[in-house]
Amino acid sequence: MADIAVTEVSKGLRDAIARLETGENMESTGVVTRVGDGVAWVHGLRNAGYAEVLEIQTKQGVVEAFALNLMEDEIGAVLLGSDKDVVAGDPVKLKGVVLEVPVGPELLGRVVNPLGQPLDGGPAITTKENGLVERPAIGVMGRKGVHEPLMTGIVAIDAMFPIGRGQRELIIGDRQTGKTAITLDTMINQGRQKTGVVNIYVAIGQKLSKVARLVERLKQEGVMEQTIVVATGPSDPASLLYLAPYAGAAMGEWFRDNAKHALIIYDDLTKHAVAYRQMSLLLRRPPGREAFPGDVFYLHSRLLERAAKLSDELGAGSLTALPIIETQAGDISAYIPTNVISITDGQIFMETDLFYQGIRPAISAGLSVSRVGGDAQTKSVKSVSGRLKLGLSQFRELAAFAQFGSDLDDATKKQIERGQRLTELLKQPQYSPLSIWEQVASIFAVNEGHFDNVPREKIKDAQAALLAKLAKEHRKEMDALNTGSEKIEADSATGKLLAKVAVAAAKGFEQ
Amino acid sequence: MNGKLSRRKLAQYVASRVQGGHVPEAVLQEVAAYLVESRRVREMPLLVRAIEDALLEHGVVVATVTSARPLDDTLREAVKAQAGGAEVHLREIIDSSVLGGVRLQTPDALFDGTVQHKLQALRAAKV
Ligand SMILES: Nc1ncnc2c1ncn2[C@@H]1O[C@H](COP(=O)(O)OP(=O)(O)OP(=O)(O)O)[C@@H](O)[C@H]1O
Ligand SMILES: [Mg+2]
Repeated sequence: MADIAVTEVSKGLRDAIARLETGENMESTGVVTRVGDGVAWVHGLRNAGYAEVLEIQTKQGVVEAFALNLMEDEIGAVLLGSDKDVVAGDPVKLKGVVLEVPVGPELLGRVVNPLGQPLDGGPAITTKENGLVERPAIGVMGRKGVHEPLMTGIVAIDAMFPIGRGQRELIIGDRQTGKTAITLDTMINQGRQKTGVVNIYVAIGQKLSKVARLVERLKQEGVMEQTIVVATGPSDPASLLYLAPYAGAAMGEWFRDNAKHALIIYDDLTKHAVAYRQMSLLLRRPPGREAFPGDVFYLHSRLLERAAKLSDELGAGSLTALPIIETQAGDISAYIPTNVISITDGQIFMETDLFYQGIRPAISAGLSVSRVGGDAQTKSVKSVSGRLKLGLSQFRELAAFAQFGSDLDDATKKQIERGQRLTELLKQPQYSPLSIWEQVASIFAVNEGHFDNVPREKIKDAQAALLAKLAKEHRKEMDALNTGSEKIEADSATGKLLAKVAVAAAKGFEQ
Repeated sequence: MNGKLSRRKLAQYVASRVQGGHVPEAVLQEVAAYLVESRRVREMPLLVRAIEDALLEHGVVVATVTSARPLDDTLREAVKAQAGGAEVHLREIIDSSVLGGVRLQTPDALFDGTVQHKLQALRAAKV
């Protein structure tokens, strides 16, 4: 190195400082000061950014971590792998990237972890693109109102709480009330109806045997080719559970941004919040209500804002989100449930009581709501769903009174019976989502009273007979009805046809 | 590095490494790294003065001479003699706003023989 004249010391120092600050011929390194519970504290690396990837050089090789707590002289970093090889004194380097995952169509049909590495024993995944795990949501101008339906195939939802593409609809309920079942059927329906919507299922801290069973079912139903599963198990580090939904969102955004449609399921965000709480406590952030850190609202709001219907200029793609929240004893006023309810565009509330009464899916008609999906409902379904909702709500009111006495007038009795039949009709076994024409024909038949003489326990049989007959004898009309563009009225051609077949189908089951 | 090194210590370190009016670049690199690491970059100008003070103790004078036109050898030698000290290093600055004459700034003294200074003095005397 050259010498500098004493008269040039000032300039020499200034140049040297500038070289250091631009990082030229200098790699910033830090050192692990302590480690434990999946968190490493790093001294140095003052220029690390939020969510930037750090590489810790351990004796056993490189372990990656990402920076979450940026403090004056220390960084709290969450390890992406096991903490057992990391020891105090290990050197740490900046990888120079914020966290990214592989995205693109190459992931379809695969089960991956939140870093995009295969968990299904298949070949390594090489994609052309990577997506940012943390990415700001698209702004107002880039969005458009939700207006295309996302058919779940579940009559109660599609008719009463319709979901549109780009919507965020929460599925909330106690454990074992059929929450996962609803989302699974929705995924299956995308395959059966050939909607072309890509499914992304994010399992957060779920038993891997459960996930394996779900993947098996998706394969059986032939929808795995249009599905990506991001899986984390209960024994994975909290950091992976925390990352899983954001990684899934990044994968979904690729489809959204490429003028395609995707559906993402977060199963479930309660476990996600708990993983975040664990991480935050380990990072010594001050705990707040229910020991969650103060920014737990932002945790889910920034995730769910990434679901969107894009404007035409941006290609009109969409990402629809179905987050799941597990409640304790039906308490939707706990911290995390109220947060997510306020973020989403509505919720499907699953009731334990209904589930045990055999009303499955156990969707509560009173507590569920869809705030934006109405615009997305197809004309045909809309034309029959109004009377369905009315019939059911009158039924709920009357049923409460009917418990007190039996001397009811005929009109009331009739309404109660209609309600019971509708309730019966809305029962739906798992793995059997219905298409638009099937939903419309079924609701129409009960609404118009064609099944009034069929005993309650035979309603499902009568429905099956009706649908079989229509499929066999009126395929062409049903295909037309399935486009959903026709408004169904009792005296329209389609209405008359449905009525005729319904009356015939009911014959075999009447008393 | 533990604790905070005083500016004087840093300056003495740099001064002790000066040889024949030159300081090795590596030394400056080292000091720069320390300033960045301890977030004391803003002290840099003060440190430079401290280094010049420290050099003065070793009999090395770092002086700034400002003149309107480049110095010739005779004038340069005269200025050096004026600055005093066993070893004088001049930082020569050409600045037409001094109009004429020279200004000599050493770590511990200022000799101002510029026309600009004389005019200012006259102007000050008038009021
Ligand atoms: N429509 C349905 N008809 C009959 N059985 C159903 C229906 N939906 C769900 N089940 C059954 O109910 C049980 C619970 O369903 P599921 O696992 O979907 O509930 P969950 O709310 O996701 O539970 P967890 O809280 O454990 O995640 C399962 O055995 C499932 O097969
Ligand atoms: Mg579940």
